[in-house]
Amino acid sequence: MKDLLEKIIENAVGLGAEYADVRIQRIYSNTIRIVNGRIERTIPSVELTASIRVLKGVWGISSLTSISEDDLLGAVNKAFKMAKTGAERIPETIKIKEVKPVEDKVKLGEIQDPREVPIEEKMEIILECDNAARSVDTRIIRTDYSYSDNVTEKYFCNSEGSYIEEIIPFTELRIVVVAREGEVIQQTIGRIAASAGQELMAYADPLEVSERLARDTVKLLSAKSPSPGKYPVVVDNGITGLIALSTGLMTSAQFASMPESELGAFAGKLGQKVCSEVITLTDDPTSSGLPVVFHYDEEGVPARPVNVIENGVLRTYIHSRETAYRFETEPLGHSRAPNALFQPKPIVSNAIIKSSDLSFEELIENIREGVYLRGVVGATIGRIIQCKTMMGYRIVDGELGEPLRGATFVVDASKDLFNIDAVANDFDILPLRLIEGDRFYPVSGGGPHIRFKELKIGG
Amino acid sequence: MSELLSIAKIVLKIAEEEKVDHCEVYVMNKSKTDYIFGIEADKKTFSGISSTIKGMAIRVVKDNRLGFAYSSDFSKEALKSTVRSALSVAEETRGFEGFTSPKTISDVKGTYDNKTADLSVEEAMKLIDSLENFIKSVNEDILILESSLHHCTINTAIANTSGVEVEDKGTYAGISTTLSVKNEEKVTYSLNVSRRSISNLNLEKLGETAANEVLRLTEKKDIETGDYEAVLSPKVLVELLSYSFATSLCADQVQAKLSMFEGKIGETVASEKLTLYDDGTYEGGLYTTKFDDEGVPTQRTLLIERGVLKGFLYDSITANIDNVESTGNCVRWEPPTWDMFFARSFSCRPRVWISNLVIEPGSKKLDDLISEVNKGVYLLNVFSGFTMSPSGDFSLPVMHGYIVEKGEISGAIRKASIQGNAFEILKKIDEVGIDVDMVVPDSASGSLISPHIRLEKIKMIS
Repeated sequence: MKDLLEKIIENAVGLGAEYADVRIQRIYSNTIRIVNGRIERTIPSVELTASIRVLKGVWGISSLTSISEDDLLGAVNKAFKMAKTGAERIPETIKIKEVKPVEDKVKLGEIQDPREVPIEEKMEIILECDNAARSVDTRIIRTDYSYSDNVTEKYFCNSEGSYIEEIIPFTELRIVVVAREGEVIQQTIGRIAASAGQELMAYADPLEVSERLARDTVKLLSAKSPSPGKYPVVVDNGITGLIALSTGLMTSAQFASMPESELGAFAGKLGQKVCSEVITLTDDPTSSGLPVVFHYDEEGVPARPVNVIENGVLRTYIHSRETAYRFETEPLGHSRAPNALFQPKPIVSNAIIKSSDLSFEELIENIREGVYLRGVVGATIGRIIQCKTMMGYRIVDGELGEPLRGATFVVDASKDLFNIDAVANDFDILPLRLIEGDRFYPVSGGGPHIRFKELKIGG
Repeated sequence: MSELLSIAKIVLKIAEEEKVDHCEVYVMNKSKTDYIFGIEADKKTFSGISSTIKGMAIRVVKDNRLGFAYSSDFSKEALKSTVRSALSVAEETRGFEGFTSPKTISDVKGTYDNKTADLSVEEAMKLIDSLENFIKSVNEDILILESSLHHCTINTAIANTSGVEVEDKGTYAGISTTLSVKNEEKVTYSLNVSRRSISNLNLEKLGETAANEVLRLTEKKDIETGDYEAVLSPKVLVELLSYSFATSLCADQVQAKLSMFEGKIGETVASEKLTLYDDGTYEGGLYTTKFDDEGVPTQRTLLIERGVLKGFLYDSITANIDNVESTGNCVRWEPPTWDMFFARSFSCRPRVWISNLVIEPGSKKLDDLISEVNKGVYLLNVFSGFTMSPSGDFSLPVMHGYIVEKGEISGAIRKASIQGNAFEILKKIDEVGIDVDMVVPDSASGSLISPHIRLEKIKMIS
């Protein structure tokens, strides 16, 4: 592969490119969907994707699903021509921040390679979970399991002498349980995901998760809806994760360059307070066990965790090489793309809010009348986070009270993030898929339980 | 024989070597080029992106069990392993009676244009220049935040073990622009238009319309919560019709008893002003193809006639179950995949879905529809209807819309949502306009070819 890619790059430089890179990714994947114990679909696939990026004043980009030398050379020509013609109309040309060339091969770690596990075995595990969930109670009317695994082989080569190979695994399971009694219908959602192989399906214990969800769903049937109003509110790790993710997304230099956009709230806010001082937020694509893990980003830059917010102050944006040049800083390996057909953009990977030393009990002990919310059913994120939560509990005189149905809440990033007055000492994550047009990025948010001094919730 | 069809036949041969009983191969090539001028950090930017995506999908049947798999790797080993993967996941499939046999396929019109297929970089740049000039000629204060041109060629081929060997090609062209106004930077307006050829993009008209619209949107007014008469643009209507409603028209949903229209054939489900077809043969339609995604010829299917539900959409499997003919609505698409031209892909498992929904035009011009409104709204754009519940309940923020008082537009809606039920909305149609537009939804496959319509009332939430 290395010889082929170097040849393609030489060609781009020969045409007159100031910089060029080529990315090839082969993704082996399986998706399985099981509804009410019935296999709805199982799809094995192999996706081959490639892109060539040529800088000649501006970017010219050509992507394809072939790695034949002829097709790749044709793509170089197209990309170069587009950049050259486009640059004639742009007064200011693009520059990218210099980085040290790297040669490296990152192999698959100690995992159970999902490509080597027969799909029947995977189906069996899910069917068993499904059966366990439905056996919990006759009022459970629907179970819906979406499983997917993939292994991505990545190849990167650029005109500065970098050549990188990396293999990345990913496995996820999403579980939806619906229960009904008369006219009352309640639903819970569970999500398991990590940059891991088939072993995830053992250590994440999907069977236990399924049974717990099933019991929670049934419990919700007789639970009361919370009365709308303003309360001290404690949220669980998943909801913290949603808030972390939404906040983390806005630290992308790309969005920060578009103040009008929905995610542009942090434009011009470097060095300023953007949330409560109890919040320290890290974008970390490097810690094993999280859903998104890579050693090198899509521009071949070594990935490092970055504290984007420290004690409530916005310290830095996350960057591509292009935005790093513009902001006169270092790119720290946060450029991402769903596959090699798409171009690298600075996008958050795992947005993690740092834990403190308070226990959950300490978090709620001084609340006379409040609400504890758990789990995310659905949400929209941005300056305004709207979230439908899965379930809750009343907090009465510092103790958990009766269970409640999922409440909705709205967090206005410009106000409510300053109302967070405590974070706990535990940790968990919420794996999600970020959808932007036709692109999907696996992402996650995580952190401890956190407390809002006051938050408005709806029924 | 085209390259794609020969690939399909190679895969058929591999499948036969694996001793399958039936096999179908679908091959697609999508070549798209995007020229995007934008503004980032106050500077003009450009990106030129070309992409060529080729992929194939197979359905194999052995011992009455059907499996699906896809690949964009065309190496011999990858093709072979795709066939084996499909066999390893095969499941019993109700209604499967063999892949479709060859049928006469008629030509469709307005789906391929050489000029669009061969558009050069220089020509594309000139078209963007002229769009920008038309916009600026309306008013010097207009800011062009984005202007882009996209064109695309799609080739498909299908071969199966029942003898089907078909191929088709299509072209697509589109422009998008996002505008604002000097000193009114919070006001933006985006226009996206997709057609089957460059010559069907009337840049002068599109530029002027977009420019006038953004100027008109600067006069913001608050609106009170309540019921209003409403004129809906095709773009709003497509967001109301492309999710729960479209789903309910599909025979697989009816058979699974998930359709809101189950058992309602012959019943009145909409205003008598509404006559609706699905038409995969519509001249120049974005989802017009010679055959559907399993090789069955496309057709025009009456769905609602003067408010009465007349039929459902079928692929061959659901047609077998109901003992009827397929309507040519086998579609390779899954939500929420989206595309400005053609959202179908080899990577999606075939299902029943709409092609082009066509609303039969009435007789009134847009101005007349508005001038008859006493207290109402004229809605141009709302957020995606993707969030709609299966029963059709929606609450969608209005992106662009106007307040209408005594037949006149009196200002742009500052901040509001529309709330209601997609199925109930159809019963409230009191007039259908005459000027037809072709639009696509934000997060679904399919197009809507429709005039503006007017509703007796819609609920606006401030």
